[in-house]
Amino acid sequence: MPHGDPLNWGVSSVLITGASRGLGRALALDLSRRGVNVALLARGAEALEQTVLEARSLAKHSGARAEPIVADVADVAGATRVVGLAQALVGPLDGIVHNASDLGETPLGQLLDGSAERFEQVFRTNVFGPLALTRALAGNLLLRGHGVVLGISSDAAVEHYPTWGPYAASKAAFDHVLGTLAAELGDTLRVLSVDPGEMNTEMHRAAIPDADPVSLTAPERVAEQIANVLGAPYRVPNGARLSGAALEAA
Amino acid sequence: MNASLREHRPPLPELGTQQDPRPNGVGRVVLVEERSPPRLVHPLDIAQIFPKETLWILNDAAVLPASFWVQPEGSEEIFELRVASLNDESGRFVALGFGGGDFQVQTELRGPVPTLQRGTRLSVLPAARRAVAFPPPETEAYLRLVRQDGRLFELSCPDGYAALLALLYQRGAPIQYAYTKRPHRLSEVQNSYVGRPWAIEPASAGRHLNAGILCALRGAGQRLAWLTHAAGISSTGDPTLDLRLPLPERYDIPEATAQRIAEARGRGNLVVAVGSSTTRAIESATSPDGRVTPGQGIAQLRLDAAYEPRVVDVLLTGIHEAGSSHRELTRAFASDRALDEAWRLAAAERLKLHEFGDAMLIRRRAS
Repeated sequence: MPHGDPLNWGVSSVLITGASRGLGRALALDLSRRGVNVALLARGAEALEQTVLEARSLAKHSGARAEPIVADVADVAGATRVVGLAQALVGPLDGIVHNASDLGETPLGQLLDGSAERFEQVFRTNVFGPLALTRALAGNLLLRGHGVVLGISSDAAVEHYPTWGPYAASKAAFDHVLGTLAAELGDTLRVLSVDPGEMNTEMHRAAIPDADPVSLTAPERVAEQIANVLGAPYRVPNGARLSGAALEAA
Repeated sequence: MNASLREHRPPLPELGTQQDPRPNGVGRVVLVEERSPPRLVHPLDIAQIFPKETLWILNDAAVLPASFWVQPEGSEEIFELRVASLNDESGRFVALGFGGGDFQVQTELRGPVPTLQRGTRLSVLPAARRAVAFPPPETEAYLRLVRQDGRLFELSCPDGYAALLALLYQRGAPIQYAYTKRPHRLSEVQNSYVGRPWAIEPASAGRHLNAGILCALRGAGQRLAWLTHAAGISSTGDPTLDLRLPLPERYDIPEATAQRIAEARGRGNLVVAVGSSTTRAIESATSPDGRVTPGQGIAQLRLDAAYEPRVVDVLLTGIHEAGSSHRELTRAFASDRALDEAWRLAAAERLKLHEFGDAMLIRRRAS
């Protein structure tokens, strides 16, 4: 637990993966507006540069920093370097948001028809990579006595939707990793999972091309809720999995 | 110690070197106290050595990929540069140059570096084994030479500190030791709790405290505190340059740590420094009355056998041979007699030397 006033402790420097579009980008911009330093990771340099420029202009009044890291979460061996660079640019970090996700082969298909290699690739991006990043960061958070590890999950991790196999399994796996971490690390940190519901993003369009956008939540709205949680994470129980009304209320 | 007064000391047995990194938290520790014989402590028992409320201070600096290769503009020659001093965010830093040979050649035997004009552009070469996770570098990356003095290069990254760090992470590698069997990866030299990459060489005493052992320390009522210190190069390969070591190294001591030290001293609790880098930072920030000033600073102290620690009661450090710079600091804590006895125990137990080896926990005489 942080010293002093733990319930009002909030993050000051965060690493966000998958930050060049969708929820990651919306969260980066929201946090920048609030004066939080952000290290933004994505594979595509151009889209990331765009997000960084927007974030910096929103952060002008507060002087908060926004820095790009062009890298692939799925390259597990690179986690030390990615976190090291993030620490150098906006450190000391006190949080990480595991947002980058691999949906798997699209159009989505039956588990029996999918490729084993592609299944493994999904796990690298959605489980092994995020775990490696967490390992490179969490020891320091523990030493400093506060911090947040937050994973973006999905209700596919809880339900069994046909054709969502690899993605769903990976989200369930990472939810379990987060839950176990929460139990192991105790009350010093907040290890949390967020199910953002169905959002109007490129990823959703790739999964369900003919969904009606009107029925989908704006990623900006979810980003605001997550930013609220990051602003006071110790008000939420450690190991919590937040979704829907609970996420709105947090 | 005056050579003419030195008693005859029987020759000491040899210890082997741990050539390659092992996982954190497997090192065995020799506890050295002036008034007791040395004893061997296994990793998980580290938490049981000292009483409750003992304060352990850790240096949370991560190791920077400080070694990279350059080619001066207009030249075919390439040579290695190692960051030696990077103490601010200006994009300027000092590096040591090494010519012919590679990391497996001892620094003393590396070839000479070219003599270059001020303002020369140095192209930073892509890493031989690409740092995974980052895409292949598409653009050239340059540093500019500000000043050269033999092997010592003052350099500037024209695009600033962020660009310099990105360049090091994309194209650099951790400084390697000549005694290793294979090049080691950046992830293999980090302590379990590292944060900002300020360290040029590993604060390797920290290898002995992994997450499990830190947990055990807390469970045993010990207290932990942290600081960040730019643990630097320990040898340049040039005897003249070696005399200038250690170079000034930046540190950052949080207020909470300074407070914990004051509380520990006030209550008579022991203060354990994990590593010589931690010791250097704390002692540099300590005024004659024993108060530690928090905040950022530059450590200039040279800690040698003659130094009298003001704050640190116990030093956790690796096992190094007599005559080495690492060994000198231990002589500020314990007598040569006690250190020799500890060495003999280490040899009998086949403990290993150097950064990836085992450790000594040395309690200051009269503490």
